[in-house]
Amino acid sequence: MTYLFKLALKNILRSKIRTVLTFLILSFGVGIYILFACLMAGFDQESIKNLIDFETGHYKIRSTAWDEDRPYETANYLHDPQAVEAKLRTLGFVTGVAERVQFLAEADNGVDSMPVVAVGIGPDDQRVFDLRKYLVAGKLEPGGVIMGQQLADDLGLKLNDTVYLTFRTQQGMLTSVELLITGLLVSANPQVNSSQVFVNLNEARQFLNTRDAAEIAIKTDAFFKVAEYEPKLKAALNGLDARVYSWQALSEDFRNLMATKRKFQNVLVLMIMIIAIVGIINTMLMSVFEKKREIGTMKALGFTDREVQRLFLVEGALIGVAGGLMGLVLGTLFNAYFAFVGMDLDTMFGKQDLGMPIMGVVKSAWLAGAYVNAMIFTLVASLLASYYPAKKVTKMQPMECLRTVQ
Amino acid sequence: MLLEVKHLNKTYQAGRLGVLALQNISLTVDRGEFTAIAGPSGSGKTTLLNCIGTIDRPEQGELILDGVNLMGKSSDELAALRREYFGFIFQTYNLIPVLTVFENVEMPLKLLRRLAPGEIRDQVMDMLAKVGLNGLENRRPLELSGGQQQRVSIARALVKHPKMVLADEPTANLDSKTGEEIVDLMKSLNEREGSTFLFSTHDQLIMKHAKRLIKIRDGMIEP
Repeated sequence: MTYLFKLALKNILRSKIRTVLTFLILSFGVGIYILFACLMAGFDQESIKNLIDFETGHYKIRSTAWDEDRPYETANYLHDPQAVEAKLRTLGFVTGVAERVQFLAEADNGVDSMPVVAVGIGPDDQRVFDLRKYLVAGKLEPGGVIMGQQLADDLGLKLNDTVYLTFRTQQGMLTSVELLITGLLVSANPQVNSSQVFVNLNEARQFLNTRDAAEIAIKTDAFFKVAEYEPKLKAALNGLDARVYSWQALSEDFRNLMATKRKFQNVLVLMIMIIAIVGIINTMLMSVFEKKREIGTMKALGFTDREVQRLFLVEGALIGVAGGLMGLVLGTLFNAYFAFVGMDLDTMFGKQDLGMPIMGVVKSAWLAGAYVNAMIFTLVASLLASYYPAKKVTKMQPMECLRTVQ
Repeated sequence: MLLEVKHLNKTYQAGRLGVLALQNISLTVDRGEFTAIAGPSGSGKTTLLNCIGTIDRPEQGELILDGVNLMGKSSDELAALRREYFGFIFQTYNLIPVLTVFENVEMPLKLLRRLAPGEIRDQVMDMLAKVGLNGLENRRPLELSGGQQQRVSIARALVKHPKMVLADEPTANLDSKTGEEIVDLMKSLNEREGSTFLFSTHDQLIMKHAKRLIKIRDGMIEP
């Protein structure tokens, strides 16, 4: 095997330019794959983080009457949120509890109106959600409202302007209130930017004439411990009119979307890798045809078909391993820039909806799996790419090879 | 007797036509012979040597080497047999260009996997000395003259002390003086090492060195 390895290495180094080109194509393909996979992992991680920080928290507790088809129906609120909250505060792993009130309203600038979702948030909200991160002007003040910059633009409103909210109380009475825009936000979620307003929790309760809560959002000490914490939460709330929804359940649609996107990304990556494999096949085929006489000589000297085949497989594997390792280095260098500096999505795509709750500068992740996958894929692909030319050679009689004119 | 060839037939496909390259060839070769197969170009000399060396397959007949019938053997069995029994010397030398002289000559010994690296080195250096290539072991084939390359080829064929050396027109690509030197070398190795040599040639000067001459014409042995 050492002898075959030495021979394979000498053969590879024979056509230096061709080998270097194949090596570069392969390493570039692997490098791009790693960058792409790490970048997408970074996007996914940032999306999940934003989703949790802004929309889902780690868990939401809602009434058992809550209806997915009518999520803002005030009649389906938690009727005894204090009891639920008291139970939650006894759990050591719960680090933040925030009641929220959500209702449908019509935001009116005096001339035009737009349908919005009004969200009542209390002082404890920031223990679960990080609204401040998205504020671009002002803050939530008594008698005030925060709205998305885009909604404000659509309604022709700006900070300190007045907006009218029209809604129905829990008892069904149509009511209108006048509020001052005390804050503007630009969130990573385009829907929030264009159709949500935030008011004080107590004021929201007064508007709706209720003491209920639409939901209680909580944060725990470890978001990934869903399998461990969810049963504990359910047990703690047993006997109350409350149902637990984990961030995973709440983001199922988004995660399905991510999975679909990943499939498309994989197709793209596969195409890059196919180009790299074609490079290896080309190199190996040329190598085989160039060396036909030598193969004939080797067979005449007593090399078995399998040994000749192994020689070409070793050649392919050497190119694959070398190209793969160089690809890992290239991928690391490419990814280092995006992991430390990041990609400014606002500059690249403006305010376009990317279908992911991300915005601003997004940094890529370091994905060990991508490195492992790239190396396995490269090695397997190199061996497969060498297999056909090697197989072709072994089928030839020594004399057929020796008769080749070069 | 080392080799017995019985009623050997070999046909080549030339387009749609089948060309009979060997017709009913029968011959025997004893150990230690220095035999030339002589005949004009296209007479079937090379085909006969290739069939004997098992690098080409005849359609009919029998090839018995050291009492073993080679017909019907698998390609792996034939490879193992070539590794063990035959040394090949080609008209165009067929050296591996990426390997040095030393590496080319050591290849058959590496394949046999019988000797330790030190022993291989000693045998290769000894054989290179015998063919007059002392000091050239680190050269690449393309850095050598035609005569020197053929000496490397001879060293490669003889280094494992094969039972039979098959040489296909070993002097055809060389000038007459170098050709004579090569045949003298083969002859002295035949005498010193006791290796059986079977070589093809159409050169009258070379033929005279042979201890036995087999004449072939149109794929048939002349009486």
